[in-house]
Amino acid sequence: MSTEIGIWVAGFLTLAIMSFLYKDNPVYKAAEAIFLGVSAGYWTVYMFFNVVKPLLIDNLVKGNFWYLIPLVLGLMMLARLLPNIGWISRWPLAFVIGITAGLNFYAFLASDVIGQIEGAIKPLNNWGGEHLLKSQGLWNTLASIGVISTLVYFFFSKEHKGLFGKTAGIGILFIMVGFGGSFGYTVMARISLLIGRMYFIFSTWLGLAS
Amino acid sequence: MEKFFEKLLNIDRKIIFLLIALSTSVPLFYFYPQKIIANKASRKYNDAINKLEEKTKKGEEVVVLISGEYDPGTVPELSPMARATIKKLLDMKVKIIIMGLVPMGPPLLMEEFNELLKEPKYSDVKYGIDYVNLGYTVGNAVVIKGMVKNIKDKYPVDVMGTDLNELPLMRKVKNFDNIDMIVNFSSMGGGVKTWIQFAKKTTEESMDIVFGCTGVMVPESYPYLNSGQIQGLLGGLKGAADYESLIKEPKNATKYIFAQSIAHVIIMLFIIIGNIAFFVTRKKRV
Repeated sequence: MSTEIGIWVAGFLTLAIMSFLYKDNPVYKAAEAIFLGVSAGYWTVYMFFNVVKPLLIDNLVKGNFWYLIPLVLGLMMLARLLPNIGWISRWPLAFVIGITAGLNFYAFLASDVIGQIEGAIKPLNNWGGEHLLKSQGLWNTLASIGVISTLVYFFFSKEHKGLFGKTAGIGILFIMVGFGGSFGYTVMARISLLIGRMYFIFSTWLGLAS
Repeated sequence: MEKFFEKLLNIDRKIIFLLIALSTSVPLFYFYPQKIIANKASRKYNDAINKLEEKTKKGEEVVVLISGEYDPGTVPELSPMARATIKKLLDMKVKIIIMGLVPMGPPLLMEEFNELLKEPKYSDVKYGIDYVNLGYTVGNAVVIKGMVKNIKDKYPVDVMGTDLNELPLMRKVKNFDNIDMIVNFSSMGGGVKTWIQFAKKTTEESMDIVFGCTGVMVPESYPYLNSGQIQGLLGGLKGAADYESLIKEPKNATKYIFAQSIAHVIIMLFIIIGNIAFFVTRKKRV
């Protein structure tokens, strides 16, 4: 059993949060409020000493007055808090949106459009190998059918009828498999986190499991 | 029979919670060495890391940048794979640079790193020579974009405030041209996509990027693996257990995966029973 006070606090707070599974209760609410308060306090201090001070204040103190521009933009953002001059915050927001859009435009095109189109073009031959299920040709063909039929499903300028409709129907099947995969992975992820907490309770805190 | 299934459909959810709690906790008391069959994505991750060994064996200096973009909430999934990867890199005598685009990333990676450094065989691993911790800096894509040309532009000092010019490793590593591989552990939105977009060159000689992520992020990450934009992928706890088994270092992920399997069996049983009960009682409801 742990002798560290921090571990004990974490253990009790874990149980307090888990108590919500039974029903909403004051212990859960207290733990939730503690979490929110500590997070807000922690991040405020962290961001000041790791971002604002080294990246802004220190540079201004060194006489690098270019940093007055982000300082002014930052102060303009705070105008949001005052309803009468709230419109001023649109200027720094426009600056941030413009920079982000410009930065991401070509990068997204390269990684998610051109890169993915290149990746989707695969050779459909090569059906050899140990057995059919291990042949690359089979999986490449399936992937190609999946890409084409899913794209057809999202083509709404033509009514989904006849061969076009059937292809879109195959697309739905692939989309469903995708959703199933996502759901399965999400369940796996959440269970993993629960296991981590259980391990903390039974091993780190109580010292019962090895 | 119908009444039985009706009761099942209206089962108190607290019973399900209890069964899941038992299935995720009881197996932790019994370490059952489950046979782990690594999937293709994990094998590719292992192959990409092993490829670095060819260089180290020739006596070439290999530098790997590890970026941690996760927080304590996803430690059970990501820390085991981070630990296994750092261990493998240390065994291969690879130089390591730690950084993060999320504040908690570098401290969590260093927790695993420092734990490993307690082992006597790593007693000769020295800070500044064999590894460096750059810490966190704000800016995401802008940070990566800046580091591609000059790391010191974005990180003039390390996490302790030491000038990078005073660290022997960082005197040799000027920019991403001097880095052989990027390992990204992420639980955050952008994930490895930001690294692909801003760190990877479009040319063939670009450095490899491998990715370890939470289970939730796996489906959206597979396209980057299939298109060759990343060279390996460890997905969630299963990916971590895969890698531990591939490097023959069973630790926490291997321990957790047994509980995970039991919990999955319970969930599958509930899905199957729920569906049977739904179809059996359907006529009555219509």
